[in-house]
Amino acid sequence: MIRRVAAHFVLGLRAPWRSRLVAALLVLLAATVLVLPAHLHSDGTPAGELRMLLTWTLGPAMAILAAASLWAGCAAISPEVWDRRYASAAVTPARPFEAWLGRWLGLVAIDAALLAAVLLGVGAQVAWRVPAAATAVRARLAADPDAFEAEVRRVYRDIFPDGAPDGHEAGVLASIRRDLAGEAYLPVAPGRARAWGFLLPDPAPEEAELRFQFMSSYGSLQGAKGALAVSADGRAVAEIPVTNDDPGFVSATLPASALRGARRLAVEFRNGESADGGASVLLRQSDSLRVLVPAGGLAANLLRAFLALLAPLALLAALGAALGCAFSFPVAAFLATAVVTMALASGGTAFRDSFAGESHHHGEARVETRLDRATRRFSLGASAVLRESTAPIDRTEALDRLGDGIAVDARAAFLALLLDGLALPLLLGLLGGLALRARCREMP
Amino acid sequence: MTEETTGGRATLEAEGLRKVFRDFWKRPRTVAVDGVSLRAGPGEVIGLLGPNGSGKSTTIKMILGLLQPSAGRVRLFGLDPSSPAARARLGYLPELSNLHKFLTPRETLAYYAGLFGMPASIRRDRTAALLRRVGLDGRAADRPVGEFSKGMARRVGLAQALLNDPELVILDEPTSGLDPVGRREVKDLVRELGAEGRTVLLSSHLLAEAEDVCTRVAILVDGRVRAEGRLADLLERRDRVRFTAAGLPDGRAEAFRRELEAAGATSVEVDRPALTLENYFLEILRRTRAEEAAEEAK
Repeated sequence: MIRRVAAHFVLGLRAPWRSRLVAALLVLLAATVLVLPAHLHSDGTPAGELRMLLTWTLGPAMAILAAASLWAGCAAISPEVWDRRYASAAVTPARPFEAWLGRWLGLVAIDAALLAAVLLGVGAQVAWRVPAAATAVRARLAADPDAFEAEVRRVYRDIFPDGAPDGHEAGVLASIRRDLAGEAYLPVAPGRARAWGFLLPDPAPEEAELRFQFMSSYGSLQGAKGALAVSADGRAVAEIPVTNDDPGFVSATLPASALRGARRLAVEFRNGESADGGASVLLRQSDSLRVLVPAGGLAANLLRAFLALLAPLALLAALGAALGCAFSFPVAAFLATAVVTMALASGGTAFRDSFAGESHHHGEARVETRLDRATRRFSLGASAVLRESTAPIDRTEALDRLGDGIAVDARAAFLALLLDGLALPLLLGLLGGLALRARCREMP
Repeated sequence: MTEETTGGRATLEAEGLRKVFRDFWKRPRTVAVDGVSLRAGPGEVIGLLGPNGSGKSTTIKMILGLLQPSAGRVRLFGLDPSSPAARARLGYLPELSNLHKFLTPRETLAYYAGLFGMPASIRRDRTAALLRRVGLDGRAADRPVGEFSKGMARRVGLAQALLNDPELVILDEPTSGLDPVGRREVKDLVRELGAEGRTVLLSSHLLAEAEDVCTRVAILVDGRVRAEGRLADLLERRDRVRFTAAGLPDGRAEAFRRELEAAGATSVEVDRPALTLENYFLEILRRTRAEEAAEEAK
């Protein structure tokens, strides 16, 4: 099997190279990585320069690589079947899945080489233009699950001071957990608080940076007022004011001496606005408050990002190659693009919400028909499948973290590569192999 | 074609093959092949003949497992044609040699050798030997196939069909696009393959070429076998006798003709046999090359 897959792998490398696809991509990527930064202006700060170089060049470069992977995948086998070139290969002992596997591995190898070149190019520019101190990478402290559960209980007590109606406590707690773990911004009313807990590593870090992002319910007109109370293992460490002048973002450095020997860090934000007409503060439990600690240099972070960014490219190549096994190139390219568009849209809250509940027509309650319900269930189901299947990639947040100088989580990156970069593609490959086998049995 | 004629060891067995092409709604559209049966054993060169659209290529594709028969069955070496074990012993030259234009002949053969699971050491030697055999060694071996003429590309396809040293070789219009020299070489090759004990199934609409190499033929018209059997048996004219002699003095031929008529023969013809145009062409070519070589030697 290895020799047969290797034969297809070598062809999968040669075809894009000799069709000048790789050369065209190199030109485009060079323009993105080398020329584009010369025309972009940052805010003048080292952090801004870093963000511009890492996010605003890597973003377009990834878009180019993603599109190329998807459509090169569609073209990997499909044209050969269409013009009957594949007939000669079909009558050899090589199995259709082996053809898919070899061609996919060839595309992934090209993706890896180009992605590595892009990251090297970007890394070199960062080393040249940004002071070393500004490229230091920080990692987010892991959330304390006990603190999360305590916050769930506190929110529950705020809502139901005397407890939920009989038999509903578990359901209410589950709903609060979902809301706090979700992506929605939840209000903290005047006088109320929201707390976070983090686990400190052993040994304790030399320093920790606290970053707090918030939105006022009155938008930018009023800002927010309150305070962040920081404690380590129950000991008060710092009190950081949040004022109406702060533009939705507060940052503070926590002294190492305060963290030494501690295992848990707790931060509580209390909304100091007046209960009479004061603004609520909108927060997201998952990332409105982050505690960042030093975590190595840019090179290691780029390496972790490489793994995280290779996963979606491998998945796109696999999707294209699988569809190319079943359809002609134009149809495969159209279907592949449609699936990717749906996958991107499925991550949007508005997309999901538009399918939830009854639809209304200019104030009239429209009765949902059976077709409406079936369509809605299918749309929600397809959206959920696409969203969940690409969730490991989303969780790495590679491009955002790189730009913000935050460490890409190695475990998340490895998981994304394993699940979305290998397991899911192999599943698509099995389906592609079956489709190719069926096509090879009806090759007129 | 019976078991007796194949010696009981059939390389290829096709029984009652039928192929109906249907439209998108599964309604029958065309009956391309209807009740074709074939049997071939080692050393046989079987010609599948017929006009364009007679079902030759469809029959071949069903034999190869590239088309599912609507009825009937195929066995290669006693195995299903789509099984890897059967395909490992099979060589196929399609009607159109759609090779990868960006690959050289050497790379093309290396690719297909990989698909047959050939180790690298065997692959190199075999590739070199086949390229020599089809006249594509030297610089041609490292030029992209996209730069080749149709005939040269066909030679690459032929080399690819023989790469795995197959026991059964299926050639669909093998001389298509070749010049007379190339055609002669292919015919010689086919005879060699048969002499080596391989089974060759050859499809062609060029009857003269099939006549030169085939031991048995099946003639397809409108998807059905209209005639089949050993070539000698099919073509022999039992109602006529031909004499050929060299060194007969002028005038004696006419006297001989009168003697035959006196003996009761009718429709007696006496003439001088002619070379085939192909043989004549090749003879001229041979003489020209010999003269050029002699000039250069001077």
